[in-house]
Amino acid sequence: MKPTRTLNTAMIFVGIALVTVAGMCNAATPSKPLNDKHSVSTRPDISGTWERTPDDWFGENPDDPVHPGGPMDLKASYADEYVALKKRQAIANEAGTPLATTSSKCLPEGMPTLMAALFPIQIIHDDKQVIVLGEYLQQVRRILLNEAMPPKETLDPKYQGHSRGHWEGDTLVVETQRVRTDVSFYDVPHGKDMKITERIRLTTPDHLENQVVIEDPQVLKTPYRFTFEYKRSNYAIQEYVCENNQIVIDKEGKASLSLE
Amino acid sequence: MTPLSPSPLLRQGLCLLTLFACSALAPVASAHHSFALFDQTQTVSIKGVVERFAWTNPHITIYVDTPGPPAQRFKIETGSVNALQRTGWSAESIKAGESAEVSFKPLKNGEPGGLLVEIKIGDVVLTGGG
Repeated sequence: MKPTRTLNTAMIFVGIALVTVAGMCNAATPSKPLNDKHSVSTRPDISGTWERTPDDWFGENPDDPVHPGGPMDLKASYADEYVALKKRQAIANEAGTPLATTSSKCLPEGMPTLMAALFPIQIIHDDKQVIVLGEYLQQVRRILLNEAMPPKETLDPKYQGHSRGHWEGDTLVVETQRVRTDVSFYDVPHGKDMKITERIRLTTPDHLENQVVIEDPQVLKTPYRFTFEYKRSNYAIQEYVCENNQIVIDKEGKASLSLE
Repeated sequence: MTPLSPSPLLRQGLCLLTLFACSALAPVASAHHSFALFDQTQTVSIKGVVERFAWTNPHITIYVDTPGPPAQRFKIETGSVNALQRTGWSAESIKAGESAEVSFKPLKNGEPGGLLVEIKIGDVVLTGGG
């Protein structure tokens, strides 16, 4: 019994010391308003590394990935273009000279492909922003919190667009505008007025859900809806510099492997 | 949408779904370019000496010289640094001058190169992937 009492006494002293130090720290830093619903202490912690789940989310054929929300409801001219593109791709693939894509040039995936997390993503957040780091090509996406989206005509197009977010209870709601029109999603283009709305929340401490809606009056007849599911990972995101691009692209946009 | 490097579990899952004898080669090629560069119906094996091991993204590349005749230099691609280091590869896994047996999916255009299936150096076997 004596050792136990000794341990308990020691724990009490440690506890007192911690409380004292904590009090000193609080006194030295400005305290947050208790009613700040967006503060670090009250909002869900979505920080960490995330990988897509379930494991078969991508489908069987890397050259024909499963669309996350099924076929997109494209306006007629874009539907025709999509069919024609798939035919050109099939012919080029058969010939062993696949059509080059932006990734063939080491260009960023952009939105919303970044959130598809083909490589792992890491989320870091505080009271003012949510940062999404994509391992692939070291992409960075900044979501500014509790700020109004500026008028669209004042925003320059960007690969990741411009994102503004806010917390609604346990859900991070994010709107994204002005994604560059040379960014495509599953080989489908988009107009300059495409709007992406995401509702991101933890369904369990280690499971993150992102409900996405893409509205695009130029390309889509109806909004495209899908959900990305992620599992928490202990993987540490690594450097990814696309330094040794071996792809040669000809005048027809067909890719081959450099032999140098 | 082509850039792919699914999780190790996904790669394993894809392996079961593909024709390959190794872990998920499919995401490898698509990590940067289409899988269609390579003839997935064929597997070629060569013996040679590693001329260079490029531990680089978007793909790791192994250059292997074969004596022939005729003497040839094969350019063998595999996955990204990021994906393969998660499966145990490192920048020191392969060194120039080492003798190697390599199997790969050949380029469709007939050039001496392809997508790595497996490289054997001594008793060490490294599988392409991710």
